[in-house]
Amino acid sequence: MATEVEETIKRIQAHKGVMGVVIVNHEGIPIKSSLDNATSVLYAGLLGQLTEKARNVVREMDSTNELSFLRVRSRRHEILIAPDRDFILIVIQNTSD
Amino acid sequence: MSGLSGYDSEAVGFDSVTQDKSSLVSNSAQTTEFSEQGIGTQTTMSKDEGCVVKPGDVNCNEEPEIPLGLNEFLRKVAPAMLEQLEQNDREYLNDSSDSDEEDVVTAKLLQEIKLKHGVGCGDHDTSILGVTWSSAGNSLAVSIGAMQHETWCQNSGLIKVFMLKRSEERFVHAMDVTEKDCVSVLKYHPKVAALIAYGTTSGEIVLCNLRNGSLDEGTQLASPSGCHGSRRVSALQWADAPLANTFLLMQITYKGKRRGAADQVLFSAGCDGTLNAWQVNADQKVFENIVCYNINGDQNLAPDITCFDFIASYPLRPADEKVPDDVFVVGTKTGKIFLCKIKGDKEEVDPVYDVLEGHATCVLDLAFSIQRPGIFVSISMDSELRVYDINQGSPLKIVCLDIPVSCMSWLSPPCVVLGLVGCEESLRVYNVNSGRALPVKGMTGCGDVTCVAVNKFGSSRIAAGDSEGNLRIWELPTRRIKLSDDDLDF
Repeated sequence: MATEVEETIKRIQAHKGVMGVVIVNHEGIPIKSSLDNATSVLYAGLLGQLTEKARNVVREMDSTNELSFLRVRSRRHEILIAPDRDFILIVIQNTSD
Repeated sequence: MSGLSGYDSEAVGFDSVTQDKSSLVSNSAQTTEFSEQGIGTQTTMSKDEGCVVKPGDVNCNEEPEIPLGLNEFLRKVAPAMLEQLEQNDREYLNDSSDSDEEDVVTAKLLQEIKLKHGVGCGDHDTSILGVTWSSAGNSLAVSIGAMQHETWCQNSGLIKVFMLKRSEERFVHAMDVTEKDCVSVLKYHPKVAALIAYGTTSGEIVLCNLRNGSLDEGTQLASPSGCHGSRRVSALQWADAPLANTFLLMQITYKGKRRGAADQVLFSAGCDGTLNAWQVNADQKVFENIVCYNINGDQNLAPDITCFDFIASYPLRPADEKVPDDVFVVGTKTGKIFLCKIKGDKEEVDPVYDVLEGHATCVLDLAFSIQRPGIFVSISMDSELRVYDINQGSPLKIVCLDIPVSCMSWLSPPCVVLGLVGCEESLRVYNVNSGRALPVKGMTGCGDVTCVAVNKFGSSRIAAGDSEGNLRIWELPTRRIKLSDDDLDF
């Protein structure tokens, strides 16, 4: 079981510019991360809130709709967020390369 | 509590000791609690398994436990994530076109022809005044003469025609056409091979058919004398088929003149402020004036016309993007740009209907985009490149260039190639949409570029003549110029 998770994370990490992968559970706790603990907790906390907000925005606009993906692009990074009911997959990519 | 066995039946009144669950919880909030009840013990054991990460003392990577459903989650979202990452890769690849190294397009100098020494220039002043490509790109005509005339032209003009020698992939001198005055401008017909028109500094317009590879006796057709007030012809243009049709119909309607199937329409503009439309046919010896426009004639201020262009027709555009197809623009030495409408109901009519907020000084060249309806680009002597929309008085964009420019030609929208003066570079390619110079290497030379012409038959070949009599021909791999979606829409 662990191998499959690790393999998936490795596959994502192998992509050009990927700086880190964090998996967050529904409580906002990082359960898997390729980053250090402090950064993982920081990203998990902030992006968990953002994802929840975005999820609510989508539902507010259309109650039958659901957030499926979130991309936050900044000058240096792009954060890709794949949310689900129980977990959130966060990938941080460097765009300044 | 549901797992009570027979042993537990009497435990109802048992003084059980309540246990504070929180006391066994080693971690504060980040817990997932599982309760397990041992048979007969009636004690509650709490096992904390939920502490996955506590900042500072737990390493996520070393956590061996895989939460339930994580694999399913990853199987579900990983493909979407990878797809997004791949999409990003493609975007970065496109974005990287703005970076320095990998995007530099190198122009290949195919040939350099020095007309100063040799090639029988005689005592001609050897500035190249004009250059034009034949429709198929297998012939190049160059006019040689004096750039400046103190009073009137006392030089004789010379046109040199070069033909492409396929076996050697180079241009060889094929013939000369001599004229009594300097040839200020010349243009091959864009469709009819070997049909060339040129204008002289004395206001004469001549039509030649070079189809036999030589200039046969009597094959030159000249305009009536006194045309353009016997002053310099500053610009020439052949009409494309829809435009020619409009003018030939005008000729039938207002003058009752018949048209031949092979009749062409040629426009010429002069320093006297007139713009003429000619019905021409080299075979049938037809050279008749259709209409003579007096630009700004109603104001009695005849401008010194330096350039003009007719709007391209855009038949396949959606209705909301339609623009009038009877508009032409005229650039002048004072920097004014006149918007004009095609009229033909009377002689010597003033076609101007609007004056755009023009350049501060001489408009050197202007040309409509073949892609965006109603958009045209102009350059001026004060090193400005402006983008105009005919529906708007002020320019859409002003690009201040850091170098003096002399001439311009569309490469392929949104790129124009500019002839430069007084610097090591001969030509520079600009993206009109972004207003930036594209990184193109190899287009260097020493003289001041006086004229440039682009042939897009097959590959993009650029011919440029300079004030020292050098003609250079480059091949530019325009397909390697990376453009954004926005650029392609331009």
